[in-house]
Formats: sequence, structure tokens, C-alpha cells
Amino acid sequence: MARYIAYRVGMAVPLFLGAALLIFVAGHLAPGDPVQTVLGDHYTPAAGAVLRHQLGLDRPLPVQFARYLGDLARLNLGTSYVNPGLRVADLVGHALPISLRLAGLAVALATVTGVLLGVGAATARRAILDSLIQVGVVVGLSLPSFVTAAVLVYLFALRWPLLPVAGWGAPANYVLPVAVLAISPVAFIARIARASVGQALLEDYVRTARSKGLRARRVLFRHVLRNAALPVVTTIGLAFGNAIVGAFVVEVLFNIPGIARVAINAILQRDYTVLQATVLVYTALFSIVNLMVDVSYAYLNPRIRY
Amino acid sequence: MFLRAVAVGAMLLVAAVAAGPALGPAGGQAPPMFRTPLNGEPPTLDPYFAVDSASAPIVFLMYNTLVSLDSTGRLLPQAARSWDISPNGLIYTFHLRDDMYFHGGRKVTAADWKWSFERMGSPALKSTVGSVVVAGIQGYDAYQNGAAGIAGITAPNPTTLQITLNPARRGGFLNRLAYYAAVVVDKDVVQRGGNGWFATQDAGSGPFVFKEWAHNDHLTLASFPRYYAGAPRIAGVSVPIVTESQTQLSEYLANQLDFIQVPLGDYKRIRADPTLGKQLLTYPRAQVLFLGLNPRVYTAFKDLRVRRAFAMAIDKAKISKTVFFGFFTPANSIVPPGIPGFYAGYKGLPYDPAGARKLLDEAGVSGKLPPLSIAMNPFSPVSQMMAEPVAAMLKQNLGVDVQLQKTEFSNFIANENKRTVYQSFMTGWSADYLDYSDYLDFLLYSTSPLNRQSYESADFDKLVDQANAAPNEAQRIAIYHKAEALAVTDAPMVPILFSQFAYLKKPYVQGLQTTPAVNGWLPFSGVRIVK
Amino acid sequence: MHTSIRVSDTDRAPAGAPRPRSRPEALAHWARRDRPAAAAAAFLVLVTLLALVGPAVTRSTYDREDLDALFQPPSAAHWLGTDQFGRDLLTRVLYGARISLSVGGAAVVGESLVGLAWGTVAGFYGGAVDQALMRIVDLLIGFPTILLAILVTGIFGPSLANIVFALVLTAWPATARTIRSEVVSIRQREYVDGARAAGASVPRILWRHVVPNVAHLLIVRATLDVSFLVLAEATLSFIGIGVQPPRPSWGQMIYESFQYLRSHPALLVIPAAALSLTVISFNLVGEALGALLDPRYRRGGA
Repeated sequence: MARYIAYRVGMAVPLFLGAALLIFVAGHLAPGDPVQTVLGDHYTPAAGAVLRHQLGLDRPLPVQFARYLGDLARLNLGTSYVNPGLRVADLVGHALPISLRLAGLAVALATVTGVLLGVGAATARRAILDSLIQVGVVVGLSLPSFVTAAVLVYLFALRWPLLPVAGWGAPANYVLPVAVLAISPVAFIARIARASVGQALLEDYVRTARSKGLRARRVLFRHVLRNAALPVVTTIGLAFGNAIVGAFVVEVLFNIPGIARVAINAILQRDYTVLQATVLVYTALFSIVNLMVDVSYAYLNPRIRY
Repeated sequence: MFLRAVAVGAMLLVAAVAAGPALGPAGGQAPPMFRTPLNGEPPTLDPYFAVDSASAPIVFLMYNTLVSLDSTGRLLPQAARSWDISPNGLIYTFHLRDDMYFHGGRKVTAADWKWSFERMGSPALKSTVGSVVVAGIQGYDAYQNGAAGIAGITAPNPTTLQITLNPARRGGFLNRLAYYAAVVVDKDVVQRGGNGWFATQDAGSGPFVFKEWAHNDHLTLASFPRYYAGAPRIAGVSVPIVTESQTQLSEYLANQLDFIQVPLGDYKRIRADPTLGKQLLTYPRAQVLFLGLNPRVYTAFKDLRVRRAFAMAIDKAKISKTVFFGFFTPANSIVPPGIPGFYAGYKGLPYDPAGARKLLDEAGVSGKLPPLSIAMNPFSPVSQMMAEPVAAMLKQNLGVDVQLQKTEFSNFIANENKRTVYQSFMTGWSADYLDYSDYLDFLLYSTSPLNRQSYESADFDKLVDQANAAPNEAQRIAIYHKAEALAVTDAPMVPILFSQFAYLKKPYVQGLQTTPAVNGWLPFSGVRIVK
Repeated sequence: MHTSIRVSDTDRAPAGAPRPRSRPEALAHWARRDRPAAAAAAFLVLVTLLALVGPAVTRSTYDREDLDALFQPPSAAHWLGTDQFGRDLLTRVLYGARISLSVGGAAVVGESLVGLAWGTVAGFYGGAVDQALMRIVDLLIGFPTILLAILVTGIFGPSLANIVFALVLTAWPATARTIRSEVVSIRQREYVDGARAAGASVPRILWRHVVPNVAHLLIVRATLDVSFLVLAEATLSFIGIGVQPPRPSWGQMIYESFQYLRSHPALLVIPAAALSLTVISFNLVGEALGALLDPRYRRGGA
């Protein structure tokens, strides 16, 4: 297992290089450039040329990329093109923990709730309970997050002013964004949990175990859940990714200074250095989540051996 | 086993959560802070580059100009107590206050102004603020070509600043000095701070001092106790960055903000609301919203008759009355009310669909015009609110198939600058400083980088040059009116509406002053919070 | 602990299981048993029909404005009232259905096919192939969707086809990952080993044994993805690179009416309801289809 983990970590290096190259090329190919965006209506070719030279944007792309990789190798993320006084590392260092905390809380909430609901639905003796949970799951998956956010804000911040409308800093600021972020993963996880538990219950070995007279609860825990856990674990990883990505809507609507806001601004302003850093952060996050998913996968599934 | 799987997930999450630093301080500020939002993260706080709507208001609060504007747009002394103008109108002698201090504690002197203006106009810096404010000063051209400084700026003693103008480009000098970015900066701070000095401090002498900038989150300014006009009566200004106007409104309603711009979609409802209606402030804004026609891409626009037909097929009065419920007014001319010398009473081109069709017949293009696409500036929903009815009117009155084109801001700006991408564009222009030159010289002069409709009229250029060399303001304005009328009838652009400001202000906020320029308010040095 | 698991000893290809009844009978049987899904299917058929013929029937067009009749309440002339430019809201909702459904539908088909092929190959072959393919997926999943879309629509222009292309690009990696993890577990089942031992070719094994066994998962995913894609299209419209006005899509209508949310909530509520109901229906039907296609998976079978 240790060798496998080392191997996977080693594999992350080409992944990072690929991501760096991809984002670099994509950013520079996309129409629009940071100089004109910053100068806006005050752009003149002369003023643009000065700024472009200061930022090194007038050099050939391969040179810019090489310099960027060189800086990266020395763990220097550079400074923002749009705001040269700002170190990208500081910007990311400030924004990332906020998004991670939000996503972490949302997925923790979603995992517990989703698994309980899914297992409840799959093992419910009364079909009505299963149906209710399933309808709830479908509704949860179907509601756009900006609609749920609007409804929750209207109810709990405007109608009954229990929570702040938006903003960041106080513990109360977490409640609504986490709730909005968790709704879809709850449904997601509940659905997958229900499907895999339902499927596992029909596997022959479970039937065998049942026919041998094992008690229902024991069968559930020993055989069913264990085998049903595989897809659910993958889903938790995905849900974490979803929560990170879902932050694009939530951080804007709730005015939270997280990494998604940084990324959106960087994309809209073509702030290449910041954009590259956010993409690398996302790549790292997803790599770590995937690694943990795969490791737990191997651990849970006896038929997979590395 | 299954539970362990869940635990792995949960551990991952707890690790992620725990990795972050402890929660920040609780939100909400002590009462004496004045709270008003910004629409976005400022790209810079260097005053000579702070020309966008997110940076300008912050710079406006921290820095001082030589002369400033009152709420009616009249010039007032600021750093200059008074000034004398030589009989030929070319030499300005400013008598400076001797009680103005930089936030670092040093007294502001005439030498600081000279240093600041030379930094502003520096060929290495290429600030557009410089090309507005100091380009009309004697010696500016030589400075661009390598001279050591701007010869026309001298500081005979610490409280006297003398500026000699270039006769050909003298126009509107005092108005240009009132540009919010024409400020004095503390050279110690700028020189010592290096590239990006403004990220952690300011170099100003204004009523508020830079305190904190949490990127994408908020800025905090503290009041400056040694401000020359007396320390502000609020502890400071708290400026959260709130990108959605609906969120701003929600926070205002939840008493988390004191002063916000009203989202246009809610204007009517707010006006009708018995409580909120009383908190509503509306007043003219020096902004024109227009449709630019680009003959380089849509070649039919090379024919004056076609351009004029398009201008005459748009019912501005109807758009004003219905879509903008009379809040924005029809624009018959280009330069908005609020700019000194506004061309009141000018009728412009009439709304005349039959006449417009006749013009197309004369041009021989009736029914033969290719589909037209209107690109919309994504900066505000207002451009789409205008473009939709304009498209329908052009289709109905002229039989032209009109499509709209949305895009994101970076793309829009880059394509506008290329001038060879958009057939036409719906956008707006707001005053940086209250002067005719801010409109006609910028938007329509043949060599201006902002002349995105590629208007080339030797007659128009000549009139603008004459206006800038006019010996006095009255003659200058008279010439500008001729240029403006020419541009309206030539129709390189179709001015459609003049806009207004609409703000919500809590009743406990007193002493706030408004202006038609920039963001609509004057620095909050006189604001009090009376709860 | 691991040895206690016994797997079925038959090479039972689930998709090959005999169906008990003829098709219409089965459909009727299913509709009786799963009323919500049947209602949802009926709703989708209705929405599709309305999207096809509705705009022709309402005697208006999506861009006909009447500036003297803005924000009208429902009336005989305008069953759902008018919008901020006096356009008939019903016509726009119906036309919006046409755009949203065709964009979402085309994108989901595209990304499912790409994701299925990619994930099946990676999961089945394993080893270096799997590594290479999945690292590309990792790369794309971490890549900001919006930038990819800006790139595609910025370079090729915001036509409907390019929007679909951008959406396919952004959605397929997640599908590939899900499919791959399922295929990894399937390839170790005895029926796959059995088929291999019997000398079946790889394409045949994939087609006969692997793909049918991930079909239910693919359908569950695709129904989830319809909602994601319709919303993604709305997001593209929001930042200005989606469907171009005055053409409506539901997402576009929702975002445009956001500024009237407090004053004229109907402008937002109507397209939002249409969007939500359609997505809910897709999910219900998808779920039911999943159960229908995979005989091992039966509602209430536990």
C-alpha cells in the first residue's frame, strides 16, 4: 500500500505539469487580455504597451511559460498581473481555507445525512417511506442552488432575521451557505447509497447469508454495507469536488471571499498568474481527494489489490 | 466497515476544516463606522490608475485635489485656497493651504504637487490620468520626449504653485484639475513602497486613511484626525465588496449597510414603499447611454443617410418612459446635463420612422441591409435594457434583422479596442470630471483611442481644437455646441438616454453630499451618524 | 474476513434476462406501479410537445415587444402576462423549453457517450491505459469549467452548437470517472472471466457484459447531468457567453429576471418552476428507467 501511495504521489507531478500547461495555453488563447481589462476605457495602445512590458506579457509564450515553470519550481507563484502589489500566494492562502472549511462542513453534513437517508430508503419496510425519501432526493437534486439560496435567504434572513443575509467572519455566516452547498450532495449521496445498498441486498451472497439465518441487521452491516460502500466512497469524493465547484455560485451569492471568487475574478480579468495558481490548487485538491478515495477503495474492496 | 468508509470521508473533511486558521473576528462594525459597499475588488489603489468604478471611490476618499466640486458641480478650493489667472488666461497661480498634511504627518507643499504632476505625466508611467490633467501644460510634450520635468510647473515657494498652459490645449483646465484622480501623492511613500506600494498603505492627504484591504472581502478606512477641514465625524468607512446588487439591497434591508445604489429593477417598488421611499435619493448623473455605429465592420454605416436613418428610427422617448419608467431621460445631445454648458433646448434628430425609411430609400439600401448585431457592454444590465427595445424598433421601423450579442467584460473591452469586431455596440460613458472635453474630445475626436465608432470628420476635429484654444469659457462652450450638433446630425453614435443616480440612505446618516460625477457622492468628511 | 464472500457461480448477463411480458403490457404494468415516474414521463412528453408546437400556437413571437404593456398580469391575450419588454411570457417560456431541452439533451448524449467509452476502456484494461486515461480526466475535472467555455465560445463564437460542445467538454470527465469505477468492479466478476475463458473477443465482452452492467449507472448519471447541464447553460448565459438574447432559454430568463425578483417575482418564478419541474421529471423517469433496465434492481425488492 505504501508503494502504491508513493507511486500515486509521483504520478501527480506530470498531472501538475499538464494542468499548468493547459491553463497557461487556455488563458493566453482565450480572447481578451489583462492589460486591456485593467485599463478599461482608459486603454491606449501606448499605455497598454508599457504595462504589457512591465508584466512581461510581450515576450514569446514559450519564454513566459518557461519562466513561469521556473518560478513554480521555486514555489514562487508570482504576483497578480492586475494588482502587482499582491502576492498570489497570499491571495490563495487567504481564500483557500475559507472555501475548504465551507466545502468540508457541507460534505460532512451531506455524508451523514445522505447515507442515513439512503440506507433508510433501501431498507425501509414501508414503501411509502422509501418513496418519500426518494421524492425528497429528486427534489434536492433538481433545485438550482441559486433558487434554494434565494428561498433560504428570504426565509431566514429577511422574513425572520435569524441569520445574516451575506458576508463572512461570524459563525452565523456559515449556516446558510453550508446548507445550500449540502443540499445537492445530500441527495446525490442518498441516491447512490440507496442504489448500492438496494443492489447489494440482492446479491447472491447476501441471499445465502440470509438463508443461512443470519439476522437482518447483521447481514446489513457485515455484507451489504461493506459492498455497497464502494460507490458511496467514490461519491463522497465527487461530492467534495461538487462542493468546491458549487462554491462558484454560493460564494458570489453570499459574498464569501473564497477561492471560487478569486478564480472567477481572475478568469474575468484574465489575471493569468492568479488563474494559474487557482487551477493548480484545484488540481491538487482533486488529486488528494482521488487518492484518498482510491486508497479507501482498495482498503474496502478485497478484490482489488495493488 | 461501511461506517469506516464514512469515517474516512469525514476525516478528510475534518482535516480540511481544521487546516484553516481560526475563525476571523465577528462581522459587523461599531456604530460610528459608515458602511457602504463596492461592486467589485479594486484592481489598483494607485490614484493615477484608479480609473474604474471599483478603485475610484476609494481613492476619492483618501486623496486631495487642488480644486474640487460641490454638489451642483461648481468648482471649490481644496488644496488651493485660491488662485489667480493671468489676463491672457495662460498662467495659473495657486495659493496653497499650509495646513494640509499627508497621512504620514508631513506637510503638503508646492514641491509635492510638482513631483506628483510629473509622476502623473511621466512617459514611463503612461497614466491616462496624466493625458487628461497635465497634457495641456507648457512643456508636457518636451517631457514626453525626454526633458527632465514639466517646464510649465514651478514651485516658487512652499505655498505657491504656478502652472503655465500650452495655448493650443488650454481648455477646461480647472475642470480637469477637479478630476478625482488629479491628486497629490506623498513621494516618500511611493518611492519607498516600490511596485505595488498602494496594497498596504496610501500616500494621500484626504479625510480617510487606508487601514485594511482584505481582498475580495472588504476595505477599511479610518478617519484622519489632522484632515485640514477637521477630522471626519465618523470613525471611518467600512467598505465590504458585494458584487450582486440584490445582495447589497438585502444587506441594506437587514441593516448591515448604510448607503447603497438602488438596483434599477427595484426602483419603482422602492419609490412606492412608504418607508423606503423616504430613504430614496435620486439626482442626475453625468452619463450618456448610446449606440455606437461602426462603419468599419458594418459598411452600410459609411453612408451618412443610413446612420441618420438608424438614429431617427429609435423612439428614445418611449424607451425612457416605458422600460426606464421616466427615470432616465431621452438624450437629444451627447453631453449630459450636469456638465457645465449642457446644451439645453437642443432638439437633435427627431424620431421619424417614415423619414428614416425615406433616407434608406435614397441611399438605395431599403430592404437590402444585412442583419445587424449589437454588442452589449456587460458591465451593467442597463445596456441590455436599452438594446432589446432598440432592436425591436429597428426591426419594425426599418425592416433590419437585428441580433444582440452578449459577452463577458474582458472580451468586450478587447473587441471594442480592436474596432474591427463589433458592427455596433450599446454602452455608456460617465464623467470622470465635469467638462465638455471629457465627452467630445474622448469619444469622437478622430485620433482618440476611445473613438470606437471610428468617426472621422475634419470639421468636427477643427471645432474641438478651436474650443480648446478658446480664450474664455463662454466662447469655448459656444464652439463645443457647434461640434456637438455636428456630431449628433452626422450620427456616428446615437445618444439614447441620460441616466440618473438612485441611492438608498438610512435616515440616521446625515451630512452626505451628492454629485453628478463619478459615483454620485462627495467624500464623506461631513457625514454624521445620528442614532 | 475477505474470504467469506461468495459470488454467484453462474455467468448471468443481467441484460439478457428474459422479460416477463410484451412491451406495452410491461409499460402499463410499470406505469401502474410507479405513478410519480409515469406522471413525470407524461409531463416530459407534454413539455416536449409544447416546445415543438407551442410557440406556433401562442400567436406571438419570443421577441415581439409591446412597450406600452410591460409587466402585465395574466390576461386573455397573455396567459402568463408579459415581461420587462412587454413580450408574451408564455411564448418565451415555451420557446425557452425548446432551447433548454435541445441544448441540455444534445449535451447529455454527447458527454455520456464520451464518458462511457473513456471510462469503460480505462476500467477494463486497467494498468497503464487506465493510468493515462484517468490522469487526463483528473486534469480536466480540476480545470475551471467557465474558462473552458469562454475559450470555446470566445474562439468559435457563442452559437448553440458551440455551447453544446462547451458543455460536453465540461461534463464528460465526471461521467468517465463514475463509469470507470463501476467497470473496475465488474471486470472481476466471474461472468466476465467466464466469457474470457470461453474466448470471447474484448469488444464482445465489453458490449455484451460490461456496458449492459453499467447502463443503469449511466442512466442515473445522465438524468443527474441533464439538470447540471441546463444549469450550466444558464451560468454561461449569466456571464454573457450563452444563448444570445432576445432568444430565451430558461436559464437566461431566470438570470435576466433576477433584477426584478422583488418587484415582479413571476418573471423568475415561472421559468424557474418550468426548469425545476422538468429536471425533477427527468430524474424520476431516469430512476424508473434504471430500475426497468436492470432487473437486479427492483423497487421494494429488498
